[in-house]
Amino acid sequence: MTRVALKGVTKRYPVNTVSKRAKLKKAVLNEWFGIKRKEQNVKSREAIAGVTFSLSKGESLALIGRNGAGKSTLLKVISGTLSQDEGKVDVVGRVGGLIELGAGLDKTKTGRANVVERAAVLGIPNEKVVLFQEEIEQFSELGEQFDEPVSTYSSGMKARLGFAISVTLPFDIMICDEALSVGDAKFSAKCLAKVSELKKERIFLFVSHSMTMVQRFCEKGIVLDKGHVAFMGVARDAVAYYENNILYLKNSVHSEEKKGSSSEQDKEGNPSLVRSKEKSSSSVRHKGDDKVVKSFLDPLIVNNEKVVNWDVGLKKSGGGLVFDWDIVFADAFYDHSQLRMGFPIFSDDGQMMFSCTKERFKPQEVLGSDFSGKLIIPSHGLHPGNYYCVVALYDGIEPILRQLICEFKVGSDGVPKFGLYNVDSKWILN
Amino acid sequence: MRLAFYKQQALNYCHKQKEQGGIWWFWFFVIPISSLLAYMLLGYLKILPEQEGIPRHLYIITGVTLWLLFSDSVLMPYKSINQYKSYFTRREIPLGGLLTAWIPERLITLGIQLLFCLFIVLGAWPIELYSLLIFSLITIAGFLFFNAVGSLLAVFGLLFPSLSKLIETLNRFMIFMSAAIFPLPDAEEVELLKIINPYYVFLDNGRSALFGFDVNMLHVAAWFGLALFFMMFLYLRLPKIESSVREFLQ
Repeated sequence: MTRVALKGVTKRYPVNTVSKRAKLKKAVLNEWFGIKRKEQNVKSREAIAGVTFSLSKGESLALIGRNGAGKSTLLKVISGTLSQDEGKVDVVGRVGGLIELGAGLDKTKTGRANVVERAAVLGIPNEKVVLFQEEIEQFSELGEQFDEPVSTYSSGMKARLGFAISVTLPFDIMICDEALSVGDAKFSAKCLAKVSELKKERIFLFVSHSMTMVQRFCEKGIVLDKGHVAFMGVARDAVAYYENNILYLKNSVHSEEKKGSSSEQDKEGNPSLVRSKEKSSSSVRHKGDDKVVKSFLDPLIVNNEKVVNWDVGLKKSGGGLVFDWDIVFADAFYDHSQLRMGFPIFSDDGQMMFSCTKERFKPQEVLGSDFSGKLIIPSHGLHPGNYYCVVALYDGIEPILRQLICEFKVGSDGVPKFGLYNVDSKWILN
Repeated sequence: MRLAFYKQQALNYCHKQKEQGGIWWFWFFVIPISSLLAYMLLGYLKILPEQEGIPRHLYIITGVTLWLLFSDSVLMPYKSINQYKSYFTRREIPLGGLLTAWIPERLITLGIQLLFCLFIVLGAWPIELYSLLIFSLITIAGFLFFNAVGSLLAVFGLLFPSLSKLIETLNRFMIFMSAAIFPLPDAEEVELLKIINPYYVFLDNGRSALFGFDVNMLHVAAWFGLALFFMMFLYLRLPKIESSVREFLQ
């Protein structure tokens, strides 16, 4: 009977090759010769700790958490490519799926040969392999390139082939680590439909940062926080827990950690860096407007030689958005002729919805070291959901500031919406 | 499942050969045979004395063929780990299968060499069916022994990288201490070597069996017994460290 049962599973990663070797040595001595040694020279980092859950056929589980929470590690432990350090893993059934896109494909062989090999290794009879080949060829939409070596494929094509193999071949346990966003929109939709169809017959383990997908595909959800199970229950509740207790809260914790580490760097170093970092951690404004939701403080790119302080805010205004910024350049005589600025808006699954970009600024718009202004979007037209916005500032092609500003929510007005966003339109009836 | 994997590996090898060009089949046979021909030349040059009544070129070709089979069995499992690293993320292929993934490809080459060797020997020496049977059994026993040793060394080679380099270096010298090209002297000092060197035991007895001479079955049986022990050990213990090895190789 197909099942996945984990009891108190803990996994520690050795931090370097010496530690990896020491860990393998320990396993060999223990398992082969019954010699139990204390871990020596094994510098390790705990990736998951005390994870317990069980699933049977037809059940689907979403693993939710921030980057580094231990989601992929848990999937690897279940798939058997990693061993647990403590606890018990009981997996009955053939595990297949996509932990890393394109993993397990032989680059020197054609797509077809890869399918034949994987099917043969699974013990599928030849007559069935032919059927699977056709199905995979059609599903992956690779056309003539199905008969060309995988080394000539683009990453999207590899992902499509890998996904098609994992959904077509008869695996009992299916693992998807952010794999449902492969290919273009049409192919993604096809993947999602296929997974919906398959999840009744298989155990389905799903990792995604898209909370919409999590709620759509999984009944159960586990929220992981630094390797520990923070919440386990119905997927909808898990998403709510994650959004309310981990995602936003951790951002501020993160920024505090960063602040601490930056001050250590400051002791060694650069005065302009000190000023910018100190400023930056407190500079993101929480607007008085209660419609502004949460702030992301982690800077993605900050070129401290050019930008020493930034202060960017967003507020929702009716059906529109207002961004205002105040950026301080290090050099008062900075040449702004190549400056480009943009405010892209992303959906919570990472798709850019639109971006407002200004390519050139007039010299009088950018005077001295202080650069401030406002962008008004009268009507954003976004559908209900979670979105986040980013400020991007470029000097020619070089990014000098790229930072998440905040996440915001667009509520439903009860009218069904289709597509990505609304555009202003007017109906005239004759 | 593992047989299907081996079959795929063999087909892949043949497919790769076909991609080499129009006369791929010519090189497919000539390249494996050429290394034997080079050693046979030594026999024709009459540099070495004739031994045990066996013509020099026959003595060398049988010795070198068996040597290539056995030494590859020891060295290839460790090389296989690096060569087939991409397979280690695939749980459906067991660790044992990964350590022996080299066999189908190399067995084709070694098979060609073995057939060529038998063809040459049968053309020049009257061989009884019984001798051929004993030769085959000793060859298979040696292959299993060295393969088991190679698989164990592959695992230990991950723990101690110098070990695999040491084995590879020693292996180069062993050809001269295993009666592959010329026999070991009958001096008392080397009598122990004839017992403790498994290359010598399988190689010399295999050749003696083929040419209808006496075979020291006790030595062969002792080493084959050790092979069975190693194989049993691997069969039982390899799955226990499978995840650890996969993790190490990622």
